[in-house]
Order: sequence, then C-alpha cells, then structure tokens
Amino acid sequence: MGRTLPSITQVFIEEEGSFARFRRALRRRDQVALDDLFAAARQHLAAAAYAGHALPFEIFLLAMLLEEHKEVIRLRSLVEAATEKRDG
Amino acid sequence: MLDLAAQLAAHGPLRVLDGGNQFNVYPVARSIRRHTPNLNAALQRIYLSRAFTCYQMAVMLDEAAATPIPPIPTLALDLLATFYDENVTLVESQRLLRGCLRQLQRMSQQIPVIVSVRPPAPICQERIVLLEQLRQATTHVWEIQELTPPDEEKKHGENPTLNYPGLY
Amino acid sequence: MAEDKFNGWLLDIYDSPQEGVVLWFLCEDGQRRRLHQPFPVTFYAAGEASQLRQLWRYLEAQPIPLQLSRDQRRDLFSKHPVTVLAMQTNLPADQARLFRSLQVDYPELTYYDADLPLSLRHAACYGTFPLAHCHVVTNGQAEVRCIDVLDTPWELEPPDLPLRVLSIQPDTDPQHTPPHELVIGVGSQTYHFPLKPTRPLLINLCALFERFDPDLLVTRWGDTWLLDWLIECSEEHHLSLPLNRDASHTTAHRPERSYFSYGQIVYRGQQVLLFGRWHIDGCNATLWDDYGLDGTLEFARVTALPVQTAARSSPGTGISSMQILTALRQNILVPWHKQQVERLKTAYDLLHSDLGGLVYQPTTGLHRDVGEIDFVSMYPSIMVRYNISPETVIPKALVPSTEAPGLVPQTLEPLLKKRLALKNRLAGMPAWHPDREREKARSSTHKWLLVTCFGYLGYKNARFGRIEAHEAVTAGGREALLRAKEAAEDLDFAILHMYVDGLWVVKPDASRPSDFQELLDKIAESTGLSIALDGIYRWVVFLPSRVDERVPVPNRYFGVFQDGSIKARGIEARRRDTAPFIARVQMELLQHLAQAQNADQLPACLPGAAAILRRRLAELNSRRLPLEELLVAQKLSRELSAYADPSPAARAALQLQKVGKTIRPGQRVRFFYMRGEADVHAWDLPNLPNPAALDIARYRTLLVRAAGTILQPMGVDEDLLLAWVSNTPVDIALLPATFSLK
Repeated sequence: MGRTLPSITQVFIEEEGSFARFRRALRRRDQVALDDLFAAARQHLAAAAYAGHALPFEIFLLAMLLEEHKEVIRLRSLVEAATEKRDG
Repeated sequence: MLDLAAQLAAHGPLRVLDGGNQFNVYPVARSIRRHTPNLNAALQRIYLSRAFTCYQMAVMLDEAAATPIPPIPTLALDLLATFYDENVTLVESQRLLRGCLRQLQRMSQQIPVIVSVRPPAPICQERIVLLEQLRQATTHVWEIQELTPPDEEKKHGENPTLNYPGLY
Repeated sequence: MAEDKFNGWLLDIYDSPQEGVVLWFLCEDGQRRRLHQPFPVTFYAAGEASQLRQLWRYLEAQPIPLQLSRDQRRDLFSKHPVTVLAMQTNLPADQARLFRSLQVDYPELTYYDADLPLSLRHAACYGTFPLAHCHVVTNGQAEVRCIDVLDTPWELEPPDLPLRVLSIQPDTDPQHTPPHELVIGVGSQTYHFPLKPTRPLLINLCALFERFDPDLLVTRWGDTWLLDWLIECSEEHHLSLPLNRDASHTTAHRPERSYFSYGQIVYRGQQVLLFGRWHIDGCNATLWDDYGLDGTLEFARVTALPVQTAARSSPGTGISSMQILTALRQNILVPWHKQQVERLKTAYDLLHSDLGGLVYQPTTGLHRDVGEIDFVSMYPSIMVRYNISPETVIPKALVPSTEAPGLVPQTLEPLLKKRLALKNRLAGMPAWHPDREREKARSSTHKWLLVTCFGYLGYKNARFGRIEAHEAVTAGGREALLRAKEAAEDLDFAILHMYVDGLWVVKPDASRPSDFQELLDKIAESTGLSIALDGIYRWVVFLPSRVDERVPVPNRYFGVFQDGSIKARGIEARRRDTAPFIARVQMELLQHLAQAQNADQLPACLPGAAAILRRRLAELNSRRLPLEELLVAQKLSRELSAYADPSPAARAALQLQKVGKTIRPGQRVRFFYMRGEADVHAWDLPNLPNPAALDIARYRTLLVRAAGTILQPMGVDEDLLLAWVSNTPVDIALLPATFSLK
C-alpha cells in the first residue's frame, strides 16, 4: 500500500540493536542505565516520526537528553524544597 | 544499489525508479553523510518514483523515456519485482517487460542506466524467462552472490563517452 | 399488447444469454415477478490511431453483433478528452466475451468500462440499486418498458420489506464432524430433517421451497459444503431441487482463494450463488457477525452491488463500486487497469510524506476523569472537506480547496452525511427501541466503508487511486491532531494519550461533558473538522509493554465510562486467539471493577476480584469446564511447508493434514494445549482430546496473566497476585505503596 520507509518503531529498534556490542561490553549496572536512556527515547517516537529527520538517531539522542533534563528539573525542585525545609 | 544512489547523490542529481518498494531513505542518508555534510541538499537531488504493479512500471518508464531530461543517471531498483506477481499472466508480464526494456534502452543512449533485479522465488520459477529477457537487453552484467537472497546487478547500456564525476 | 404497471422493490439483477438483463421485483401486491429488459452495453478502447483502425477491421469481421463508433470521452486524469473506439453489444454477456478475446489479441490498447458489474451499469443508466423502490411499466409480456426509481440509497428510513427467509444449517460443522441432520427455519417454525435417508429429506425440502418460495436462503456452510451436497444428492436421486427461482439458470460457483490484504493473509471460501433468490452463508459472509442481514442489505443499497455479491465483498470492493458508479454517472471513463504513476518526488519529500497517523505513547497507569475526544470519521472527512481526490490538486495540509469537488469527495459525501445522521439518531434512541439493532448494523456498514476508503485511495490496484492523495490525507490527519493538541494545551488540559484521530485529556475539576465543550469548539474551528466527546472515563488504565514496563504501548487500555460501559483495547479478552474461558474471566474481573462509582472506590473492589479469580481457577483445576471453553484459535500465517519452526497453530494444522483436512493460510486453526510431546490437539480431529491430558498448568498461567493485565495497574503486583491465587486472605493494607492514583 505504498509504505516504503520503515516505521519509526522499526527504525528505533534497529538503532537500539546497532549498539548491542557496546552494551554487551558494559558492566551490568551500566547496561541498566543505557537501557533507561533508550526507554526514555521511546517516549517520543511520535514526535520523532513527525520530524522526518534523515538521521533519526540524532532525534533519539535529543529525546534522551530531553528526558534527562526533565529529571534534572524534577530533582532540582526536590532539592530546593528539602533545603528550604531544612533552613526554614 | 542504495549505496550507489548515495554516492551519486553526494555529488549530483539522479533519478530512481523503484519497482520493489526498496528505497529506504535511512541507509541512503547514513551513506550520504559519510561523503558529505550537506545531507538534506543531497536528498533533494534524488528524484524518486515508485511503481507497485507492472502496469505502473510500464507507464513509469514510458513517462521517464518521454520526458526530456538533463543527463542525470537513472537507477531502476528491483525492476522485476512487480512482474513476478502471480495475478498477472506470464504472457502479459513478458509483453509489458518488452515495452519497459525498449524504453530503458532508449534512455541508455543518453544517460547511464543501472538496473538491479532479484531472481524469482521458488514458487514462481517459470518467471526466470523474464530475467533472461532482461539479460539479453543489457550490455554489462554484475552478479552478486550471497548466501541468502542473491541479488544481481546489471548495468544497462552505459554511454562510454560520458565521464561521470565522482564515480570510480 | 396491454401495458402493465406496478410498484415494487428490486430484488435481483443479472444477465441472461438471450434476454439482456433479468430483473426480479418484490411487488407491492406481494408477488415476486421476473422481468427482462434489453440492455445494450458499451465499452471503449484507446490507443494509437493505426492500432484502432486495425481493431475496427477486426471487430467488423468477427461474429458478435456490434455497433462501432468513434467518440471523445473524459478520462479523469487527462485535461483533454480521449479519443476512443466505442463498442456496443446488444447483450451484456457478449461484451464480456468480446473483451476476453480483445485482451488476448489486442493487449496493447487501453480499455475503459470493460469489466464492470452489470448492476453498476444498470444503476448508472436507471438509478436502480438493490431494494430500490421502483415504478415499472412493462409491455404486458414481462418485458420492461420503463423504470422509475422512487427512492435513493440515502434514505434514513428504508422500507421494511416482507422478505421471506428460509434458513438451513447442518447440526454440526461438516469440517469437524459429519452432520446427522439439517435444521430448517421457516418463519417461526423449525424442522429437523435427518440426513439419511436422503430421499425423504430432498422431498421435504422441495416441498418447503415450493410452498414458502423464500427470497433469501440463509445457511451455515452453504457455500463450502451444504449446497453442493444438496445439489449432488438431488442429481443422484433424480429430484430437482428448486434452489434457483429462475429455472433457466444453474447455480453459479466461484472458487475459494487466499490473498494478501493490509499485510495479512485473508481466506475466502468458495461461493455458491443463486438466481432469483439470494443465498447468504453466514460462515462465509464478510462481517456477518458484525452487521448481519440488515448491514448486508445496506451495503448492497449504497454500493449498488447485488445482495449476494455484497454479502461476500470486502469493504474495499464496496468503495470501488461506489467510485465506479460516480464515474459512470458523470460519463467519466473507468479504466481497466490503474494507470497513474507517482509523480517524481525527492527523497527528502519522501521522509515527510511516507508516514501514517501520529501514534503517541500514553502515560501509563491508572487515571481518573479522563475525556476521550475523537474526530468523527477523520480521514473521510478530510477527503470531503479538503477535496482530496486523485485528479484534484494536492493541497497543503488543511488548506481549503478552490476547485470543484473531485470524484472521491463526491462519492463519499452522501455516505458521510448518512453516517453522521444515523449516528445522531442512534445517540438519541433509547436502548429498548425495536429499531436499534437494525440501525446499529446499518451504521456499522457505513463505518466499514468509510474506514476502507482511505486505504483504498492508496491501493496499488485501485482504479481511482493515487498515492499522493493518500499521503495528503495522512498529512491532513497529522496536522489536525497537532492542532487539537495545541488547543487542549492552550486550555490547560493535560494530554494522556493521542492516537491518529483521538485524544485523551484531563484537567482538574473537568468531569462533566460541559467542561469539554469549549475545547471541542476550539478544535472544530481550527481544523474545520467535526470532533466529538466519546465519553468521560471514571477511570482508565493505559498499559505498558509486557516485555518492559517502562515502555508504554499505544492501543492497549481499558476503562469505564461514566455511564458504566466498559471500553477495552488490546487486552486478552479483545483478542480473537484467546480461549473463551480466559476471555470471559478477564471481562468478569473488569465488570466487577466497573462497579466502582469512581476511582477512589477501586481498592474496595479488589477482594471481590480476588474471590472471582480463585473461583475460576478452581473451576479450571476441576477440569469440569466444557472443552470448547479452552479452545485457542490462531491464524495460520503461511503455507505449512513454509514453516521452519512450526508455531502451535502450524503443529495443529499438520495434525489435521494427516487426517485429510487442509487448512489454508489466513484460516484460523482451533486447538487445545496438551501435556506431553504432542503439545497441541487440533479441534477438528475425529477424536476429542483426553481431558486428563489437557495442559491445565499452561491454561492456569494464561488465566493468571490475563487477570494480571487487569489487576496489576490496581497495585496488585505479580507476587501479590500469586499469593491471592494460593488462597492467602486479601488485606488491602498490604497493597504496595506504589499504588496511587494519578
């Protein structure tokens, strides 16, 4: 029916797969962290598809960074609240 | 073939006629990137048209041969894929293929034309005659033997005086 | 010759070798009348002038009587009229025969109007359609002088016709066990006729046919076994069974086939068609379980396909017929093969156009007071509103068109209008209304046709298809969804999930329909498309991936609307391969949880859920369940020889093959899970499996997994679930702290 390009999910799985050797050589807890990064990127597949980027991995990296930053924002506000409480 | 498309696109325009829904842009993009940083510009130099039935393929080649174009190379991907369709009789496929080959030969007098094909699957082995038809119309043939689906590349009527920059 | 007039409804239309066209009417006076009508048929050839001249000479010389002429006619895709050679035969059958020989002798030419169903040609000429109300004038000798059609397929209230229905079915599935008797239904009577001795069966059946003269024969396995068996027996016993009302025809057979559709293999059994009566086989009719007879008749009405064909046609064929009819009515040539090729686009363009609908990952977990808003028939609406058609200029996403409406929007518009009108009507109809089921069935037909028309636009063999148009529709859909998202965010809604044409949104204190109205208005205004509130969930759960809990999965969720109704997608109970027992238990758990009036009351429902699960597990362990409840039904995805590592379905199919029963790709194989080496047992084998050898442990695991799908989002993790299942008393205080309402 005309679909020539693989779906964004297929592209993602392929990209994730291309890091299999790297992942294998990591320590186990580092593997878990790497998996977290890829799981984070999965949250934004629809936007990655819509972007129509010729090199999708760049978008996936950006999505990982996005999630990391959200976590930083969250932690920052927790820290601020805890500091206030301690000082206040 | 995708690699070839990438190399050509890195340096100039080209036309791709896709007969087997093969033109996955992503590996082409990665390949282009190895040759040049101007990825999007290169992608905009690849002119693509897709055919999903052999009738469409025939019309596509009629139109491609009829349009006056500047001398840019043409790649035809998986040319025979739609001709192996069991819903089209072998006789009809052969007739349509004859027309297609005529057009490809016409085109090859002005521009380099490269065609890739796969042999038919075991369940339609009788269609191997189409492959023979194609072979007879070509000037150069390269075969790529691999353990799993062999993929043959054929070069079709290259104008020997045209020196295409960037290609070997 | 005295003229004769009457009013009646068109039952059937087919061609007749001597008379042209035969029409059957159900007259207002209750009679069923067979009439005939001369009906010359024209088709066209185009091509190089010299070839056409050659063709002309060939045609003059061949025996079929013809009128030849040169003409200029409109091809949808060319700006200028096309010069064609017009060939008119007196009899439709002659046209078909002639075209077949031209395909062989003149394959180079382009043919138009060459392979069209007769009913569509008649519809284009006279406005007829199955069950059309007509005023007919004859010449007194069963020949039609003129027909006036008094209604249209778009009536909201179709007539309730006194159709006479006879049903026949064997008492068992012939594939599974040889039947012993036929069960016949006539009006309110039921008869049981043993298969042997056969002669009395045939005599009785004959008598019933003659006395009752049914318009419709509904069967089970009629296409694939029953009718052929009856015909064979009647020949053996030299008794003629009046299956056809029209004795001058014998039944028509079409062979079985498997084909690819939307990436899946589909199987269609052979077909046995009657003349003057309709035969519908409930096991071989498309979507019979979905919309039944009412839906099938509606399908026939709006597509103008004869009822027997309509019953066995996919929605794609229906849409194609509707487009062909629109073209014929406007004197647009209908090409035999698809001619259109994609215009050159750059690889860069392909990256942006070769995309489907936007599918987001939901925010997993349990949510409360969630509104689901959906665009109404999004893709068809985009096609109509933004004039997307193979021959119109391809617009940028959601930019209004300045051209006259194209073929596809013209075809879809009345269907879309009727769908919306019927949907509105249904919404206002109370649950006890006698017409409700019928209206739902008809609504379903419209839904299927509309859902298919978009796919059909991009279909490689569609005569009026064009891939750029298909891509423009998805581009419009993506743009509409994004504008809807922006509108929701502008109004401070949080978006839990988005899926192609729907959004799930939530906002503190928004829990009544009126709270969502401003959003609906804003979206309608910015997109130009209809959007509606599907409902507000008391609570809804979006499920993560089975494999990795961090990964959300679109289209797997379940929830309860404010009116108490349940909506579930992608869970075991909704999957066709799940064993009935397991599906039932999962729904039972869901229904139990649906009793909670709001999300806060859910924890209180959990002990009850645990009790249900324990009871059902005990039932399973007792092995007292009817065997059919444990049947798993998986599709065979390819020919048996193509399996390197046979799936359970393939292993079951191999067992059937050994006893001479073949399963085609696309058919479902039903089987049990067994202990021991042969870990499956196919259902249609001559012997039933030994209940003691059923792999109860495996079914137990499947049941617990299905229960977990429902209960884990409620805070019952796997360990707790297993503890419950082993009769540990349920203490809500033990629920892990992770259970929290978002």
